[in-house]
Amino acid sequence: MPASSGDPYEVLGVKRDASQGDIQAAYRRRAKKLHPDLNPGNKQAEQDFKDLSAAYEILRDEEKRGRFDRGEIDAKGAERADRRYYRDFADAGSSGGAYESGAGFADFGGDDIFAEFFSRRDYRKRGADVRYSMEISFLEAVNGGPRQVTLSDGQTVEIRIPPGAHDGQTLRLRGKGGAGQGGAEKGDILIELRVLPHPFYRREGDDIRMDLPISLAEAVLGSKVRAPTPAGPVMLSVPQNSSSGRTLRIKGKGVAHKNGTRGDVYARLMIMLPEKPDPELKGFVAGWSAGKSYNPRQGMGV
Amino acid sequence: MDDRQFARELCIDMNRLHVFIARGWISPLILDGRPVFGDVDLARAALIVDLRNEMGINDEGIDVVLDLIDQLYRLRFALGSLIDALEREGQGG
Repeated sequence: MPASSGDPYEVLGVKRDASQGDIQAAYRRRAKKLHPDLNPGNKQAEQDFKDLSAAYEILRDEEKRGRFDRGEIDAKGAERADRRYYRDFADAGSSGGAYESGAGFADFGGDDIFAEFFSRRDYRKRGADVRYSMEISFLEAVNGGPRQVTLSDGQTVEIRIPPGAHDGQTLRLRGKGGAGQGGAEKGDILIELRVLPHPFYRREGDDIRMDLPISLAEAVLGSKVRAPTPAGPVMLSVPQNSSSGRTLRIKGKGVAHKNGTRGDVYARLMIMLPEKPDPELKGFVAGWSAGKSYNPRQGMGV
Repeated sequence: MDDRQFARELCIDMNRLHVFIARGWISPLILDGRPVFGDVDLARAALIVDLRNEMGINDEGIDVVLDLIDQLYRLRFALGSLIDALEREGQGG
């Protein structure tokens, strides 16, 4: 048993001048004995395996081993972050249907013998839930839509991403999780949605916000422009003399609700000058006398 | 998580991940033709990586180990329920 003495040589049970071959062999011998997933009932195995891994992490690497020998580092430095072992899921029954095998007691009558035992005692235990997370696009979350899911047994079912789904929302596939006991129902599959960001839409509750670029001519003269929305493009009236920052509301084109209505889209206008400087525009503005006296920063006291 | 994230977490390449799936060691959900892995799959795959890299067990051996492990855990689950049922019976009577 590796002790938590912190001395990796002691933990691995090798001499200080052990070769790399000896160290690997010692590590493998102990890992096979101590791996928590191969020792589901041994609570101590997790700590012992962690100590063993930390010790091996130092001794397998000649440089780290040298630094340890010279007292420059201690064994704690090589400890790995805590991990979730398979036994934590399998023992809870939440490994799902995929990894369950009743072959170990098929000769006692398999599940039937247990079913009879449990039904006589009126004992029922619901199967455990199995969790997944799934990334979906911004628009898929806003608009909703169907997805095909194939389970580990080959069965295909359709799930519906509800319109207006939000990040962290969980979809439930009832009765597709771990097996129950005593005739009790199976657990569920839970799929947590992770909504990816969109290049120009931002969501605020049921509303969508975006910056809408417009040309100088559209801003000065006013215009009807094509604007994208999650519900498809719309024609938007830009009033004449619109500054950057003016926000226009497009009703009923935002995040979809279950009842078929939608939130709104707020388009903030952004005046974009031509990508290349335009001599005509430059000449025109230079000769625009009223523009020289207008100070848009007056309200800021400068 | 998707297959790329999953392989990255485990420090294995995509070819190796395909072996995990092809041999039936890991069974992800398939969403619109693309695999999705849960935490249980990650923990199980980490065990497989340990069996291979840390314990020197080859792929044939892993088939055997996983089969026995699945039987072991199913038995533990059944036995746990059995004890639970007997304890309740004891308390009830």
